[in-house]
Amino acid sequence: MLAAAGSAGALISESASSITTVIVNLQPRSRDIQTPLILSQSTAFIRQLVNHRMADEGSSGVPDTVTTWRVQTGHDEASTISATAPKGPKGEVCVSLEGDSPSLTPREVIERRVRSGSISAEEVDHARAVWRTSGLSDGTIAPFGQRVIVNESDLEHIVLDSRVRRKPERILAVIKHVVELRTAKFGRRMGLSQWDEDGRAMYGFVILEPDGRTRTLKIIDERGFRKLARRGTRIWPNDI
Amino acid sequence: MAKRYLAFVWDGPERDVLDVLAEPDASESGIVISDAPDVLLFRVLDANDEPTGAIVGVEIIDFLSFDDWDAVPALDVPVSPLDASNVPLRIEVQRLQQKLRAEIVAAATANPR
Repeated sequence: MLAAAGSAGALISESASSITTVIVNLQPRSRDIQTPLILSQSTAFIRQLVNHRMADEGSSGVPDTVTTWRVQTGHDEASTISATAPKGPKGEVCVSLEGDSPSLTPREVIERRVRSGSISAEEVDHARAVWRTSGLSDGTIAPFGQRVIVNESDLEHIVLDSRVRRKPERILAVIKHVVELRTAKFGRRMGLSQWDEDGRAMYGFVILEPDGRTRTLKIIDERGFRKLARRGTRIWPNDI
Repeated sequence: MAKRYLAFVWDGPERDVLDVLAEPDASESGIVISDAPDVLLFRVLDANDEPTGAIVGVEIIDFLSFDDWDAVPALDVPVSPLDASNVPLRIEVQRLQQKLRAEIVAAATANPR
């Protein structure tokens, strides 16, 4: 049996319209594995593709050269499919899919998570609603007296941290409960935050650009808080 | 369970923060401060909502100029065929840095100000 492993099986079926290049990388891992090919949790599209190729090579064959297909993804878009594998009749097949861009935006990751069911759309909607209603985009005055701005792309980056995504009110909490401001690289500043949430001590940090925009914001533990408190130079409060 | 894949998340040179996330595991993870100043770790959350579990992601601040490659740990979950070739995550991340740098140079060349 040939088994499939690898990445982004959902990628084709869920956002094919954004994909122009797909790489199917066939890597035999074990020579005592027999056909048929199984592509667990992959799409019918890829299954048909590889089955077709396997049929071309014979049921025991794996292509030994890079091969390119032009195919329709079902979204009226032709995609280029390449496959390569060391010559060998048997082995595990790994499938990886890549888009043209080498990276994703935070928004794309969030959308994929929602589509795959790993996070709920309600959580994301709630985070956006909290962001809109709390005035974060207009700026929030932090305890050190300056305005901290969280725009929408900042929000999308910040909610990659699950503990913020599930409780987006924590964004405002981090900003409102900065207890120490320290220097950071390139003229940035790092705010260290501590507050009580339902009897539990919470810690966070925010890295600010010189103009007050938020570069990143996270929930951390006390140990991390102490680590960060040793970095840079304290610039607020300066009366201790 | 959804299929695992490695997501490289970067929204441009302005923020220049890279997140490398083993999906879907990283969708329920929290941040741990590492010893390297520009590297944060995503660990799976435990029952107490604390990030004590497997390393499922890395965040690198100022990615385009980052060079502390030894500070980039291996993830605790296999996520890509490259794992079978024993390509360390830091090598994949270095390759991505080269690609992004090249894209920026190409964009600047195509649209000179």
